[in-house]
Amino acid sequence: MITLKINDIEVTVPRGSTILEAAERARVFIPTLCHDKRITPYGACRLCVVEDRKKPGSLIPSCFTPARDRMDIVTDTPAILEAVRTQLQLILANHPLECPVCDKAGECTLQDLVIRYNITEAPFGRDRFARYVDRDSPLIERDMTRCVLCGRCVRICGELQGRDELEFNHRGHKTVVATDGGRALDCDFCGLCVSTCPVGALNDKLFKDRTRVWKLQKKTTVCSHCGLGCWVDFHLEKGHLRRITPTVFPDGKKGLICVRGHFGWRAFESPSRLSAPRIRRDGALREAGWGETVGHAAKALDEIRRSRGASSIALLTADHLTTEEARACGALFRDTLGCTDMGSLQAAGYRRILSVLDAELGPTWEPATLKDLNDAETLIVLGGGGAELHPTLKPLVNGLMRKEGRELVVLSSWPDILTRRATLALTITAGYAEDFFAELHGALSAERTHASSADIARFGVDTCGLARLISLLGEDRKTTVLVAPDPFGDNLQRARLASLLHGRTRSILPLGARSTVPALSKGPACLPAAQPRTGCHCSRPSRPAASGPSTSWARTPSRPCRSRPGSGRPWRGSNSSSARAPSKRP
Amino acid sequence: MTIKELSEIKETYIGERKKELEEGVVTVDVHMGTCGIAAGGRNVFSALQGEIERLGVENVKLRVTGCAGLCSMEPMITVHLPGQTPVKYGKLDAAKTREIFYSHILGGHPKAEYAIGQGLEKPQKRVEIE
Amino acid sequence: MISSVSKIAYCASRKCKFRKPIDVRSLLEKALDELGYRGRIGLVETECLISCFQGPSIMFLPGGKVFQVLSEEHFTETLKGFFASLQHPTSPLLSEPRTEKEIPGIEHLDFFAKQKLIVLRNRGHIDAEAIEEYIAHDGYLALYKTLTAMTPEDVIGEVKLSGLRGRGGAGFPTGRKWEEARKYGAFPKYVICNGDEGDPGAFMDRSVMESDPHAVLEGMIICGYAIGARKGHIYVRAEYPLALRMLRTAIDRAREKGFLGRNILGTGFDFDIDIYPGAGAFVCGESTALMYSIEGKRGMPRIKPPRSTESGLWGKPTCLNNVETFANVAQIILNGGEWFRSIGTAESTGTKVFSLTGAVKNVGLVEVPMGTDLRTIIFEIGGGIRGNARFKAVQLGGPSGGCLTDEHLHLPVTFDSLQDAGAMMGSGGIVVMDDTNCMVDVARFFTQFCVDESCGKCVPCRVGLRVMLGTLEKIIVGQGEPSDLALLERQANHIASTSHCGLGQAAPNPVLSTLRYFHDEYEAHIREKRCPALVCVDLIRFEIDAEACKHCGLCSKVCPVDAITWQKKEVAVLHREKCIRCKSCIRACKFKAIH
Repeated sequence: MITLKINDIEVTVPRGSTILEAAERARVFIPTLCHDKRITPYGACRLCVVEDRKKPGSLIPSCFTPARDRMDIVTDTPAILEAVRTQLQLILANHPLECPVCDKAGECTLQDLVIRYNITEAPFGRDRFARYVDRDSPLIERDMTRCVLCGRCVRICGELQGRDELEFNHRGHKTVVATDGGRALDCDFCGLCVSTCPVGALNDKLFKDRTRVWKLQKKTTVCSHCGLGCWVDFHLEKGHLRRITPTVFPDGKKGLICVRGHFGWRAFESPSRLSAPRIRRDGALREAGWGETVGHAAKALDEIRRSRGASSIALLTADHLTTEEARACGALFRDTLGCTDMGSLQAAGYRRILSVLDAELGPTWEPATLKDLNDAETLIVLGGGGAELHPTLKPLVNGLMRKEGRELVVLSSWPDILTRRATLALTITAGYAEDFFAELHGALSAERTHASSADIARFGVDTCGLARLISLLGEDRKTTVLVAPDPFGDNLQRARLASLLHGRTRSILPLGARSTVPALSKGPACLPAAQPRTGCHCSRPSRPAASGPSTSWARTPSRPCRSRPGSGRPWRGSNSSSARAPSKRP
Repeated sequence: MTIKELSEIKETYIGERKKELEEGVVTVDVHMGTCGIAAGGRNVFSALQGEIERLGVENVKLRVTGCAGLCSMEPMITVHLPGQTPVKYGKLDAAKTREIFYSHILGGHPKAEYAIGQGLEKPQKRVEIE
Repeated sequence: MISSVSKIAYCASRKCKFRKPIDVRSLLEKALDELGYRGRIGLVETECLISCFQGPSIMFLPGGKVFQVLSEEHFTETLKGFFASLQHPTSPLLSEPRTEKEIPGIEHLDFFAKQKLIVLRNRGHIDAEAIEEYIAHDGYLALYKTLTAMTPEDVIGEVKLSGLRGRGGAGFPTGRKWEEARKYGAFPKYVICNGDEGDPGAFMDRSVMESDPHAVLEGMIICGYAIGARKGHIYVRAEYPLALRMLRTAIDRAREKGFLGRNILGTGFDFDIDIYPGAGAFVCGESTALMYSIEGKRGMPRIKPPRSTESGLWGKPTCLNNVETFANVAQIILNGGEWFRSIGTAESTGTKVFSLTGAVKNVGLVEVPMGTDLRTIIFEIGGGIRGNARFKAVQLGGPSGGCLTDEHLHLPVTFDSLQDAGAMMGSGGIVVMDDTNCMVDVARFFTQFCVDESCGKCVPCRVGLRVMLGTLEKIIVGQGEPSDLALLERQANHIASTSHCGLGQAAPNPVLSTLRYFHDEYEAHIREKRCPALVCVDLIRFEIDAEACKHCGLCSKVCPVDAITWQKKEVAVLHREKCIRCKSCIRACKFKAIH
């Protein structure tokens, strides 16, 4: 730890921190434009310049200069203020003055800085360039006349998402951020670039021209499109959802998000979704009230149970249930009705893996968290499709692989995203994945007493790669195992293999078991350990009991969004499945 | 490649040059760095080559070397007559080169009106002489 | 002997003033017929054979022995006598070499005598494509000494002792850089030679790469040994095709002989070099941008830390040095660091190669010990200002350097000595200017260059330089305002203090130094709307001074649009409505009568 002074405030930071980080710790404001905590510092905007009293006269950019012990930094000398103001004036010289029609107004970093530093003149004149505007790409609109060339979108798409879709073209004052060849976007559409753009150059097309940001209410919640559960912010205008953005954590760092979480909420506005309960009468489904419907259903279920027995009832639920809803559902059908056959489409694989792990490892085992993923020196992925099912795995693994000396081992039978990123990819012949896992389990466990008669060639796995995997397991490296489910397969063998590896690694992360939030210790809602049979079919992460800043939770979708004013009903919930609430209905 | 082999290469080279010296071979260095080429050095080179072929001269050796440093006087050549100080010529063209060819290279009389100076720059030496 | 003569050349020079009216050709033909050699000996017509003070000359070939034809009578006998006297194929001088004037010895010519060659020691003297010549001039001896008799620490010690500083402009101590690259334990390490000489007017590195490429290779291999690298890259700008070719040939020859590749000189040390051509960006001469360029990425400087010696090319320790720096290394190893230290000054040891261009008589490459003063370089080695012009200013270091005036000519040129005067030595380009150069235009030229070559990453360079250029252009077309000078200075200081890399930090130097020393020229442009050097076209009135005009009519002859009328012995008249402002008349007028 080192100690330095920022504006005469003493602050202690870990060695390797930048001066900017030290200033944040000391609560001293330093303006930045090209800085985003999710990516490496860049040093392009030069707004973050400070001075060291020990070396007067030279301006140091604080976003990447490492802080040193006993530095004496000042951030508000006349020279610094002059430099910052000149910098802003230069940026404005190329920037169109479109605040009245730009969506970013109100949350625009450039606007905030200009107002804060009271820039009211343009001593350098105005020198606008004719840069392109791309309205053809889906979901993201790119208005490059507003671009300040901070490079954040380029870096986030390259370093974080790993997609490298955007890059600087040309040089000098002719520089423009574009795709190769200037085509429309053809990427993952995760929208991380939109989330990082400090000005209104990259815009969310779903939000464009809908409303002004100061009319929005923000609610922080967790996305439920997949088992990773990224923190997101809902932006609501009078109860109607207008957009979703990755949340901003208390330390100022923005989170991750994928295309489903960012832009997928509109799917739940589809007019074909049910907005009210319906009962089939006289051959047709007719809308009915909640009380009437529930009573009808209860009577029918009870009647079936009496006449034909509980085993004649089977339950099929959606994958988007919240933990609490699923628990309530399970409690009703299992405990009250005595039904034993319950399932959901995608959760089966997750559930199977978890139940096998619980069975083999006992009730006290703890799944790993995403922190273990980030700290891993070797990350082993059992099974393919992990990043396809959980898109934010892509930037997470990408961020991991950018560090020195990390190994990514992927055992899968199809060329998925993680296989392409792997340092060691063991591709198994299609259909033999489970057999291979069983074989590997046998080979690694101490039980095997005789040589296996299995023909390795059948599995199609490269033996050199296999040898490398064995040697990696033998090395003293921090290893995390990620288990990805096969939505249509049995998943038994991979779970068994994972449980075997738990002995060596102590770090097994079954996808779907945890969210990015430090979860509650094995919430009873989540794990089916106590139940011998299938039990709870939730695949959702448990949600922390205390949410973030908001105190009331948005509710499950109860009706489609009506943007027409005066639709009559009071606000009861947002229009996205991403919202969850403690289920109040029986 | 041992040190012995390295010095053998040097010895062989010096031996070859000494032999040329005895045989009376005249070496003409045409300075063809980019500055020389830009100023017309290729014309000078082909003029020399042309005259050599035309006359069937056998004891003149043409070499292409790099820029001699005085780029404002390019195209330049340096004429090494056996047993005499080398002479540097500058600001040449094909016609002047031919004159030098006959008067100096073949005839032994340096042509002073085109000459810059005689001798070599300080650390440079003809290895076969020293 | 007779059989050794295959041709007889006879002089047919029409310019000859000694020529007697003898028809040599028919004489020869007749004589050869009589002697019976007609079929065997050919006759060739040539230029002056310079031996004709008594008669036309003939020359026997091969061999070149010259004889004079003194009379036409008894020529056949004379010819026979000539043949008999042929004993040695070479022709001894007929008499003392007859010249119209003396040829000075090189040691008396300031241009050569005052230089001290270390880097350029083989210039113009060896065939760059023949490795044997390099070896014969003590080539690769230093490599041998290094690999067999020195440890890497010894090498670094010798380079540190020598005090060699980077010749690319920054002047970082080379020994320290090698020491740092050695100490990091990440492999593989890389050696990079920066041959991207982007400064306008600089051609030192080009000359070394073309004339003596093996010196660069040897330096790189020694560096690789010292820091523990096995791979070297030479980054050569694509605008140097001859340098690329020479280096490629040199690398091939070196590989054949075993100086590159595996197990060099049998010592178990592997090292290989390949060449990476540039793609036309000045900013790729900046070391981190260069490394990105080699990696196939966009050439933009990155943040430091980490320094390249810790994490450079492909994230591994990299030692990047200039061509000239590497060319010094072999000599330092052979002659010792003390020897190198004894040349130059205490802080800037050794020599420096300058490309001296501009308004001097002797344009070319100058290598002098550090600490030589500007007056020696420009007026003695350079021969002074050409034509009948006067010295006005000298620009050092290309677009990164400032200009100096005649009151600075006594200053020694080293890495640090010119900074107080607002200039820096830079990579070694010296551009001398006379009074036909407008300093405002010079500032604009260099600023335009930097605007075109800016990578665009940081705001002050990308936007600020363009704004500064706009102000300068405004002044040049005659719309300058008095407040523009303060604005220029403010812009320039801002760009210099907040830019990300050396390009931006140094780009305002031409503006700042011309403002400092030529303030009156700026004032003339702004207040009087006049360009004293008659360069800025919009500020020239194009009128003929009747008193200065000497009625020669030359201006009228050169005008391409006949805008000047002239009659003998009268003052010429310039009709402005026809004038296209091409300045041909101004250039033609020897009496400076047109303003």
